[in-house]
Amino acid sequence: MRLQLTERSQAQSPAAGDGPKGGIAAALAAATASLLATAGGASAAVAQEATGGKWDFDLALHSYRETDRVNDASGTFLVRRGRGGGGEFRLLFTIDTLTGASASGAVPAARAQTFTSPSGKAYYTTPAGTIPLDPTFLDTRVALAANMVQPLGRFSEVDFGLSVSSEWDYLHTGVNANYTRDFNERRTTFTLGVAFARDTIDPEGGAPLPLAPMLPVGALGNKAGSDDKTVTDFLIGVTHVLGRNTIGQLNYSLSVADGYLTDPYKLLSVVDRATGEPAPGPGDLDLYLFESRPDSRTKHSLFALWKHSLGRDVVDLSYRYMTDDWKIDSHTVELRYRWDLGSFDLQPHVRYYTQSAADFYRGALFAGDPVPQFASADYRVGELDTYTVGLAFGRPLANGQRLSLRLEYYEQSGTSPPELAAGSLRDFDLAPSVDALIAEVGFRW
Amino acid sequence: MGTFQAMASPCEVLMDVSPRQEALRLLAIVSGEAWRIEDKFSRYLRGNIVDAINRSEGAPIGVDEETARLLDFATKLHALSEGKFDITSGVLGRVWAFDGRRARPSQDEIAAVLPLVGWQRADWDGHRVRLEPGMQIDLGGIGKEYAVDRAAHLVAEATEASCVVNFGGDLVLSRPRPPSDPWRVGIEDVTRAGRAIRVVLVTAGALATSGTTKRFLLADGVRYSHILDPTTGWPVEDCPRSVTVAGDSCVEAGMTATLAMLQGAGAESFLAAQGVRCWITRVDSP
Repeated sequence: MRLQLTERSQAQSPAAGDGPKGGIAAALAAATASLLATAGGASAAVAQEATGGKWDFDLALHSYRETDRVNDASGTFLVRRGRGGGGEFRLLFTIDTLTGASASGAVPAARAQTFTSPSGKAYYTTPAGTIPLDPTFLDTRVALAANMVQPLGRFSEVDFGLSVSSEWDYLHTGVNANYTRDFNERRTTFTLGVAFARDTIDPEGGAPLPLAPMLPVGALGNKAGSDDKTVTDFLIGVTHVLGRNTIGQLNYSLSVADGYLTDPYKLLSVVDRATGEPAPGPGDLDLYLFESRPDSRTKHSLFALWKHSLGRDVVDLSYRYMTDDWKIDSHTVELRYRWDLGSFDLQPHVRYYTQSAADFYRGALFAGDPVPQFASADYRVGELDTYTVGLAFGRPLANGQRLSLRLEYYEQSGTSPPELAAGSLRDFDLAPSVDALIAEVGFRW
Repeated sequence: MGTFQAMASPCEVLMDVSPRQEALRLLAIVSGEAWRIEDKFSRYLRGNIVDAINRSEGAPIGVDEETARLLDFATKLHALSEGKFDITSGVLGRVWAFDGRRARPSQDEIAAVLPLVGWQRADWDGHRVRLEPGMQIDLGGIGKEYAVDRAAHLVAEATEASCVVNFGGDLVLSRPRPPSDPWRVGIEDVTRAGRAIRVVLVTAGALATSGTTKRFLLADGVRYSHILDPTTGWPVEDCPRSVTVAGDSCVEAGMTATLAMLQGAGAESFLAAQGVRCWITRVDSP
């Protein structure tokens, strides 16, 4: 008999050993407390493998490909190292490349349309009858996040983090802290989190003035330097063992953003109310205005998760409700099933997301109307539904290694605002659906 | 460090105290408690409460408060494990001899003893227990971990120092230690007895191991673990060679490890769902 040693350390998975116990473990803790007559007297376990120079690594390659639009290829590299006394140090490095074309916000026209590129140095043209896409979309992002987890006494833990990411037109810096505490024989975990980020945006050619018209190449009177924003997030959450095989989680979070929240590359078409044709603009251009969003946004969200174990399989059902003062309300429902087939596992996954439009969302503006204070034709602040279906495969290998693969199909469909049923615009699909294929391969060692 | 022998295991107390008399005093407390529990609950000794229950031949036996707590605990574990953890399963040992020699029993032999297995057949009201004639209980599956926790509790009352009470690899710290100064505990490689392969740093709580390391039965080329499923009378298939779990107490860690072993091939999923820190060793024979 040839012996082969295969080992798995559950402690290497970030979820295990953190957070509340599963249903049976919690029932066992309660039973043990009455056996030993030490309710609350036992010391919470603080044990971890001595890493002694041993590091854990996770590498994942990720591809997101929209049909005819954006392609995103990214790689993440996670390094973890246990610290004495149950703490952990984590470093996450991400590199991410976006290529392809994205919808600029302008509406189709019966003839070809010409736009000035964001740099203000060139023109690009989109054919008649198609959604104008900005083909100059190309960016590489490099991000680094470091976190330090430190137990505080027997039942609490703090997690401090720093993050920085850089794109050629964008710089993000952030700090975050999380506090968790177990109660009630560890049947209940309470989480408090706070994060603060300061981002600077230095768009190519400068940040456009709000609702300023697109100008011909060489004219830069509509742009003004860089800008910044701050985002502060708070989270309060509770995770509770609901039964032998069930865990529930409820989180409330508040996010307050201030500063430059506009997308400097998004446009609005100005069209004739009767014909739907583009209105004439400066030089030989039609009239396109750069979008303008309010300089603050307050979001509230409520998240509920229900995790139930069915023998070896685990089912996760979650729901998120988000509402903000831009009048966007969204609902996300997600269902995940972990199907344990012994030497590997399969995880089917479905997700549905729907949102209402922001109060300043306009499909286009009409010539002769007063220009509103805020307006955006960005589909991301319009009415939107998305569906995701996917399947993940995981296979544990020897020595705690793990291989994972994921394939998902994503479809997004918007709704065009009714006021856009003007003239020739009626002939076009103003909110075509976008689909994407997501693939990921990951390896842990 | 002080050592002694109890419950068929080498027992040790790791102490960070001086002078020597203090260490000896603590060792005496631990060994005294271990031997007390062994004397009271060993099914191999005559005249104790377990012996009285096992020889009751269907008569109800009144028990003391400590025994009652252990029986209550066994009842909860029986329910939690859906009958897989059962203190009456010891009689299966009459047909399954895990000494590495005997052939495996026939289904008829197993069927003959199965009617004597099942804690649900016992009549336990919290004060008195009545077994059907021929049934027996064995608290060995809980006793060692219980003794570790009890002894550590007495040590905690006797000294401010953080000591490790370790009975055959199941251990608990009497008090938490500063994070900078952990106890280092080796987890044994099942293929190389006595050689630690993993070092676990512990500053509070317990570690306990359940395994099939030393006891097994080889028949027809199949290696049967000594973990028996009392609901079928057969060994649990595809269980890991050993499972080590970190818990707040030794009982909690030990029972989590035992319940995981009883899941067989599902041990890893079970442990993952429980959110405990654990170390699993599997030896696959192709």
